Amino acid sequence: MTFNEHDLVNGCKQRNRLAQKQLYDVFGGKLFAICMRYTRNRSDAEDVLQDAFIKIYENIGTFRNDSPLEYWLRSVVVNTALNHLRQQKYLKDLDDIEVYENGIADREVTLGDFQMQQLTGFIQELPPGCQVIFNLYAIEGYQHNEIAQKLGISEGTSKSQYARARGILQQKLNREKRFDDGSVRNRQF
Amino acid sequence: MMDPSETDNFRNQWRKALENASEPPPPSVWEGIEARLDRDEKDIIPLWWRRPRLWYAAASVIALLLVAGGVWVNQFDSVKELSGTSSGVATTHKTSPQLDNKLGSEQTSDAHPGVKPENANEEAIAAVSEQPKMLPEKHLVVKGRSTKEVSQKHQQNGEIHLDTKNSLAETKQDIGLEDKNILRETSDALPSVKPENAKEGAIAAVSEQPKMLPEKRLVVRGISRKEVSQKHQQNGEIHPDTKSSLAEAKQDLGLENKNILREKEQPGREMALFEQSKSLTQMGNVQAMAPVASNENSALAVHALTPVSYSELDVFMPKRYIFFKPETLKEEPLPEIKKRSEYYAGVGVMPASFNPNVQIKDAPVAFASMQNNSRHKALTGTNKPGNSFALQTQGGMRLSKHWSLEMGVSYLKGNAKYEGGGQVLDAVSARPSNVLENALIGLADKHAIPNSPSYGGSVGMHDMYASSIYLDVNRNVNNNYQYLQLPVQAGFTLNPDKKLSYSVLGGMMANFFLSNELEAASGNMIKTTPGDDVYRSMNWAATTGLRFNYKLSAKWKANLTGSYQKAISSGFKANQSLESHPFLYGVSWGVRYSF
Repeated sequence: MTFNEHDLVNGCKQRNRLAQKQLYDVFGGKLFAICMRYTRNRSDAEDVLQDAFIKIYENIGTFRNDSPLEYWLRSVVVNTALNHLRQQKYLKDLDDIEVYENGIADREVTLGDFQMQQLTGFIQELPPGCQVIFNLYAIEGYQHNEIAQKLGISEGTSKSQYARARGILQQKLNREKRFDDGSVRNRQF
Repeated sequence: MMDPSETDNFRNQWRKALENASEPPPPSVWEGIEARLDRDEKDIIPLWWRRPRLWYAAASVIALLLVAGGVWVNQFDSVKELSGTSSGVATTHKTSPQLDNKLGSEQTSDAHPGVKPENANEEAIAAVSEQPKMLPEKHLVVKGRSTKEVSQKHQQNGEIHLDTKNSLAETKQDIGLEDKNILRETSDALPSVKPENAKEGAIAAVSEQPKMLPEKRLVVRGISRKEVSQKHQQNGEIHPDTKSSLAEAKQDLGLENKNILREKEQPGREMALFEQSKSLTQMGNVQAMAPVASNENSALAVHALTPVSYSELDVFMPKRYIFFKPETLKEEPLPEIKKRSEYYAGVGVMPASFNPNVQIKDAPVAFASMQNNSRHKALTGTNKPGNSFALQTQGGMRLSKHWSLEMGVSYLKGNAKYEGGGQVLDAVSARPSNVLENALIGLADKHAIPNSPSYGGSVGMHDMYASSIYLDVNRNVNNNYQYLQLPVQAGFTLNPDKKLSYSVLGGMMANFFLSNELEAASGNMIKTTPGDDVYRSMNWAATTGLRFNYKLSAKWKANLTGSYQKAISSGFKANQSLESHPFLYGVSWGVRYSF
């Protein structure tokens, strides 16, 4: 789909419904995938996406063209998802946890063998704190100190929760036994 | 210690796999967004109302209109002024025909349609503008000469046969001609000169001295017009050649090339110069000519400066949508989104503990006459709940995410035991009865309970009471109730979409009495039905409970419900000596199907 980002933004600023719909059509899929990663189920993801787009339309006037529109949209969606999780008390008790090595030799797993829905499902099954921190750190690219500031937790908590998420995901991937070869490698991610 | 590069590898793989992931959201999401946007827009002040740019545009348009209006008013005033000037000139013509320079030219134009007065005007303006500095001196000279000649012309009664040589000499001096040869040739050719060429000759002579041209032209043309008017006044005729001469003079005035002018240096034209000089002498009132010419020039100047009317101008106005109305307002209203209601039906079975909670309000007659110590014990009965059960069916509707309303039909079989403190032995029939049985027998006597085979119908109660014997031995009887229950309950569910959810229930229940069997160990039984008019056919009970729902599949749920029911009115009718407020504890197991 071809579109002019500048015109799209201007149309949304003027509350032009066609422009709003086009914005939704262009970015709705990607943003919904983000919502799916941050929530526990599809119903919650739909709620978050709806809230996020309302915020986007209401605050599109604050968007400046000095950064790509998609980054701005992603940030709005992530913040909306975090607010949603706070309301659901999912982020209430995020403590520093001790991570145990499972002692199982992990194999190098090629994620390309998995479908996106499967990977999203793995993330959704993570404990809430782990899920959020994994998303922020691994996918969105935030650093631990930024995550700590964003969630009001310590940097150590962020690291330990991420390590826990990583361990759980490794186990899930290994359990699926979809390896790029049959070899066993003493290698972790 | 984990290798950082491996950590980065892990992150990179996940990021690569999910960063640009996309999954189309269901259509209901956009419908919800659109509905909320529509709802929000109702409270929004129209956008154009608070956009300063549009206010600026509106102010600009107003300013433009004001300026256009001012210009139009000024133009209107100018037109009025101009028309006033024209009428003033016309008045002057009427009052002083001799001063009507313009009128003379118009008359000339009438006689010679080929000449337009506008051309004369243009020439006058051009002449004035070309060498204004030279004008006063020459004008004075010509004017002085003309005054003399005018007096002579008045005496000659309009004939233009003059001493041409003298006139030519004077003319040469007056108009500053320096080429004596031309003048000589003119004087030689004078007899053959015709009046028709007078103007051409005059113009040609003037054209030889371009520096002096404007003044000459002004004077010459003035003279010719004056001459015409004078002729008209004196003879009532207009010399037809004068007009042609004037037309030619105009043409010649437009030529700037001296060569062209020299070509006109013909004898006839020089004669015309003579004729012109003669005309100068005929000018009756040159002094009067000046103000007339001035008026004419000013009127012409004003006429030339008059702007083209508005209708002939191309006005380019930018098209602007000043009052912007969002297109969304034109869209048809969206149909209301109706969220599909969820209904469910369920069945269950509830083991329960039922207690009829029967109390003796008034002691039966057989117990009333006892001694106090025995009486107290005899009247003290204890209700002990027995094993009961209920078969339940439910139908419900999910009102919202958390709230639901359900109704049902249940069959309750409530078993209980009543332990009486003592018993009365009937002396006649030797049948024992505790206080509950005795009270029911009393009710049977009162209402003639037909379903009490043990005691039959009406027995001689008073006789029985009179001959009864109290035995201080406990006597237990079983109470077996049967009810049909119709509960109506509201439920609030926590975590409704989760695998395990919790519901808090509360509501009312209508208990329809079916029957009660009071059975003693000896086999004696008192059965009561609604028709006996002992129990209320329906009494109300409050119910509450806590339910655990486990989601088996999208449609099926299993539930475990803890219930408590307590009657809020007595099971017996109000005028009875017995009172009963049954209550029940139970745990229900059931399944539910949503559709």
